Amino acid sequence: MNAMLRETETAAPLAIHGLAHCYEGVNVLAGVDLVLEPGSVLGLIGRNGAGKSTLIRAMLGLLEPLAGSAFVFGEPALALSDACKARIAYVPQQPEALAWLSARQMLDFVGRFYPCWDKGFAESTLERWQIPPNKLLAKLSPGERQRVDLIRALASQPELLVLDEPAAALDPVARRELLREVALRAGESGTTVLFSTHIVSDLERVASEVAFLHQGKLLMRCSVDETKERYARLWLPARMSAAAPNAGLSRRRHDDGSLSLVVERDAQGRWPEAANLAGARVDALGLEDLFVEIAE
Amino acid sequence: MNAWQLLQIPWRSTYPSLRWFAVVVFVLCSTGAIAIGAFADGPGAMRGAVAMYGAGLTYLWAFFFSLGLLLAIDARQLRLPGIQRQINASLGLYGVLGIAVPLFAPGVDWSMAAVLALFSVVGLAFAVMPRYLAVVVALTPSLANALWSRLDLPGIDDPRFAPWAALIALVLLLVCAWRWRQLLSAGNRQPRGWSSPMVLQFRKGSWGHWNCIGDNSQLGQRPDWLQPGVDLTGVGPAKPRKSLRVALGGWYLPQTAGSYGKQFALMFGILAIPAASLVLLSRIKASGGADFTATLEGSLIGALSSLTVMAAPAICIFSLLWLGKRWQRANAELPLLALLPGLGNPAGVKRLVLRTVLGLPLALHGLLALLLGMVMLCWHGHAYMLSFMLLAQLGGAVVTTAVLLNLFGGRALPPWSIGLILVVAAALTMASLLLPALALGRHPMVQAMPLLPLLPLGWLLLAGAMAWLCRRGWRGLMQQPHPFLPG
Repeated sequence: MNAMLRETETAAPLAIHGLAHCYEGVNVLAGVDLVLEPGSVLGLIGRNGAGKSTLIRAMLGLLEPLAGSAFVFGEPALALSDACKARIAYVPQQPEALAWLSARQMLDFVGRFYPCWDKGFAESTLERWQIPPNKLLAKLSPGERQRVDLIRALASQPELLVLDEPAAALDPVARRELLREVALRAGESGTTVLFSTHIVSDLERVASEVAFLHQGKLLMRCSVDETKERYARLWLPARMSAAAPNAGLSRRRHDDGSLSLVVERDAQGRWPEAANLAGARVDALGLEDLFVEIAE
Repeated sequence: MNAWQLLQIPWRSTYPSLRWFAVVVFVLCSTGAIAIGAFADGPGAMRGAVAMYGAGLTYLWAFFFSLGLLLAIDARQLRLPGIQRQINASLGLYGVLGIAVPLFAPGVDWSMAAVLALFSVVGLAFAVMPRYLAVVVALTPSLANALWSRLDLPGIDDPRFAPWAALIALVLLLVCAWRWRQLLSAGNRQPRGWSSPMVLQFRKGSWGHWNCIGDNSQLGQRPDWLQPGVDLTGVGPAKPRKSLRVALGGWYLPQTAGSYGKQFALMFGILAIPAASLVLLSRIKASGGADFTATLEGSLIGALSSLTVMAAPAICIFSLLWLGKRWQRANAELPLLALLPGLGNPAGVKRLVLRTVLGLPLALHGLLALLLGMVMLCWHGHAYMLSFMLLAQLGGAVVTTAVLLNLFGGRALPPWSIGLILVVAAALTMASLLLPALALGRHPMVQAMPLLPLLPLGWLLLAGAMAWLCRRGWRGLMQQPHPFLPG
């Protein structure tokens, strides 16, 4: 059974086990496990410095983690074959690659390496997104650079699209166009998408699943629609705080001694027992509130 | 604001490294001037003292006081009231002090004020004028020296020179004031490239562009006509080496024939200025009785030696800085290359990276060595002397290989370590240039001859250390899963 499970995981677009890494003695990733199902759109959310970029880079074999393993389409991330690479597209945060080329030259250059390169898409999107094709990348604004790199990623028609804060430098119009394109790819072509962000509305718009990364640990993962049903804030007055469940995702004590916890329904769909005490209150949480409650 | 606060303005508005270096230079120049004035005899003593102190003043105005402009620009951008007036007052106060204080020294004529003012204003002009004019300013001392001796003009200590100095200083001051206002009002639209003044180069706290090599911002500042024409013919999985060169950029970038032609023409154009000055100076000096051909030959050997002296460490530094930036950034070429299909398996990619990355700098070292070999064949008399230069070139190639291998092996050397290696290599290179010249030159120094065998020994020791570093880098590279991991 375990062997079968492992086989399924290793054939997944992305699978990581016990991934750990640190910079200058500070733990950035502390044993992260994650498997991405084909066709899913996973939004990775977390505060600045939570380890999102490091996790993404370790997943794709762009850094060698201190511990753990990462697989892309069943191949070790640090030794990907050309065939596997052709199925992946990755856009880093604030891309700066090949600044000495113009947008058209860069797309032409990169496109020659991808067997499924969609040249027409690249040309038409450059025009649609109003990016001067012959202007040097070094002379484009950060937002334009980001969009050129997104075109580069999408034109390769990847099966796995990994975007690190793709909307960080984009204006609202460009951000909406990007999200529409991502949703289209996921919906029509079955592209698996992993993107990191701290813009919660972006997650709600396109992600099918959300994963919270906090201080190097994956605190929770569930479908976006499920979060409202599955998680809530339990408020307990000071006199009842001793009855608080131990297994809360976050725990905050207020000045008046009352306690706020983020709690999860159990397998039978019930809130913890403390929620039924007189004076206790269960508040529904939106995705943003949930993020803030956990990350604070 | 009192005088003490005004004096503190430049001190507080510059980077510590720049400010302390300026102080050291000025103190050294002033001490030298006092020493010359106190201990030297003869008519040249005063001239030497004034020139020495003047050089210190020029440095201060070029590389320290001129930075007040950066503060003034920032203050104007931030709409801070009164700052510009205080900067002007501060500079005025320093200007008066720099000229007035030495006038109280015994034996100094008050007409020297004009000469010292000229030294100060030349420094300021060097800082605020466009950089293409700064190149000409840098050649001025040699040309002025030659012209003075040729035309028998009055020396700087001659009272007849004072009115001329005052007039030139006044004109330059007006030009500086105009330029200052122009740069101040330019705000974010400051001139770029060669039109940009020297003072704007100090924004990052360093003299020159060493820190900026490999920065994309530098590419953005370059005018379109100076951008290289990229040759993408044939790039793709069939030509991985050429493709990698495109991805590495800089001097690795394959360019069209026209683009190479343009770059070479520009380089020769720049080299033509010092070459023409060299010929001009040789002609002027030759008219005083010296043999023109001998002077020219000596100058050419000197220029060639200097070129190789500068080129060997420059190749190493440029390669390291450029590739270091590429191998540091997680959002630039590394992830693109790591995930680019068609480059082959990891072992093949490692070989490809090594061949491509080391190939160009080593070819340049080889080219310089070849040039030296050809010169040795042409000038048999100087072959022994030039063989030390050849040694320096080979030593430079070993250093380049060692530092680059460690970069790709994920064991990039810390800056202090690279600095130490470069200082040792530069010291050996300088010794390889100067010692043979002193021992085997036209007027040989007997004391220098016994030191010559130490040079190959020194290079051998450095090569041994570099061989150890090469092995360290190589083993690191072999242990890496692929070569596109950040260092």
